[in-house]
Amino acid sequence: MRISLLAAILLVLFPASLSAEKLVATLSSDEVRISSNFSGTTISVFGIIQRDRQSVARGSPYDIAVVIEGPPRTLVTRKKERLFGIWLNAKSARFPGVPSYYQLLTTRDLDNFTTDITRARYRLGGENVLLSGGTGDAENENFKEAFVRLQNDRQLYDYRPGGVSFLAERAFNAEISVPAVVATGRYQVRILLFRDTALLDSTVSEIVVSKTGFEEFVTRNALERSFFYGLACVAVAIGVGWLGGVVFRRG
Amino acid sequence: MEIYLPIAEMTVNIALIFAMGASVGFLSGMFGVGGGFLITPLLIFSGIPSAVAVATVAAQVLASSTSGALSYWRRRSLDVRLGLVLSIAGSVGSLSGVYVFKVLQQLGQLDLIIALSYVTFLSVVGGLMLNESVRAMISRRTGQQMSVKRPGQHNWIHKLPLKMRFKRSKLYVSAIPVVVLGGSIGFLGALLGIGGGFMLVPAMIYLLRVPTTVVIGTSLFNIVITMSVATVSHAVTNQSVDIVLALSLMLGGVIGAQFGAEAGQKMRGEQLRALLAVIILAVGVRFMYDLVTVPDELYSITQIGGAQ
Repeated sequence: MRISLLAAILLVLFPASLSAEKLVATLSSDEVRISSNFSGTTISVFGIIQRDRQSVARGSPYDIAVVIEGPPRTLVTRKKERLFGIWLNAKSARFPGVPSYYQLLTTRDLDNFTTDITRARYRLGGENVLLSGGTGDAENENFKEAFVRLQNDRQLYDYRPGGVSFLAERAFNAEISVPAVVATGRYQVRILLFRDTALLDSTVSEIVVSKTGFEEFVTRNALERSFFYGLACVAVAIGVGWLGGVVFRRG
Repeated sequence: MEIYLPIAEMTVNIALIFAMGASVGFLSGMFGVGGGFLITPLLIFSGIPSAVAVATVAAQVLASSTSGALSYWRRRSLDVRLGLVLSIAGSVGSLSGVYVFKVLQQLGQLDLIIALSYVTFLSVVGGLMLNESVRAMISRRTGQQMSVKRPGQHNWIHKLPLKMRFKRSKLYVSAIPVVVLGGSIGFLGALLGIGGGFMLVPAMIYLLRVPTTVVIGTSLFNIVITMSVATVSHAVTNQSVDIVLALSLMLGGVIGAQFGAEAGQKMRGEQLRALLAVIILAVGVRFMYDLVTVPDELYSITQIGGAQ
């Protein structure tokens, strides 16, 4: 009795180390290069669940969650109110350190294999990325709900149950969509393996989104050498203006 | 065809941008205005962030004003001294405008101030212009002469101290209204993404009594300088000048302006002014509409920085 209690406690504390399943996954690409005709792209995830020889196949199904989180940013949610007949921004909630992009792909709807606690613990679902530490009206549920809803509308927060599919009993794949409005930076891809609301294993990998070529040149100069970039813009504008006059001069 | 804007960090349809630039260019060629007060709202209504729209249009207005300024320069149809006083005040105004812009952005009230300013100035200027041009059209029909205030006649402005002599305009007038005028136009230009010519020209004619032969050239000269200052300071302070967007607008604008100038020759002055007044009022009304109607979405999100 005591030994099985000890084993149960250990299993709860160190699920991965005592689990017989191991998750192995790979991405079709670990970088996204933004060039002039960039309009979004997709990255494929392929993975298998390795099971060691001793373990016995149990009845309940596996569930996979693939979470993609973009670089952290400070985002402010504002609410309009009517004042003197016009609508203007009044109250606001500031959320520091939230991912600028969040995508969640799962085999089934989250309710089937997670509880509120596991969702909060493993940051599954847009509402669970709002860490405490927000200021203003950050604790207000309305602001939190509006934040997730607006991010969804802007295609920056996405939840797709059924976005992960099993190709065979222990091989799965998912398609990560990268929209055109993504920010540059390091994106973290976490893949979690669940069974019966328990986490069996997880892996972490990274995707780097960067601008290339001309776009990178322009952005880098605009940010790092802004004065010269400004002068260059002025020179281009005056040049185009002068050229326009020359080309179309009518005596 | 989609093109990625590196500073705005979004893709736009380049045909749409080109069409916007060309149609506003057409109007600017027809009426002799910069068109910033039309392009900036158009870009904002199309979903481009206002910070990028205002800063980028400053560069675009610079381009379209340069070709006009150069042709007036060649003909010596401008008052350099007056232009310089206006521009120095205008540059200071521009720098202040960019600073206020940044502060408003951080407070989350930039869009509101831009909308309110557009509503105010466009309604006032559009209303005055419509009033004047309709009366001119009526007087032409009825054959009655309107009482025209000719340049050279004095008003209360000419009683102010610190007078300067502007030979080219045959003016001896206080520097104070010139500085105030130049400074305000420069400030508004940097804040709203407009050249301000459509406000500066009537102010110079009616308030300062500058002769009509040098007014437009001097105004364009002033716009070139203040918009250059605005572009560089927006680039340094807000990093929101998108050169790709600016170039796309400029190309459409230059081509549109040529056709517009031709079309404008065929219409009478007061008809053109009435038409321009109607367009100005329409843009003002659109901003007003957005301000007073219940928005579809009460909440909005903006990013204000990195992880902290």
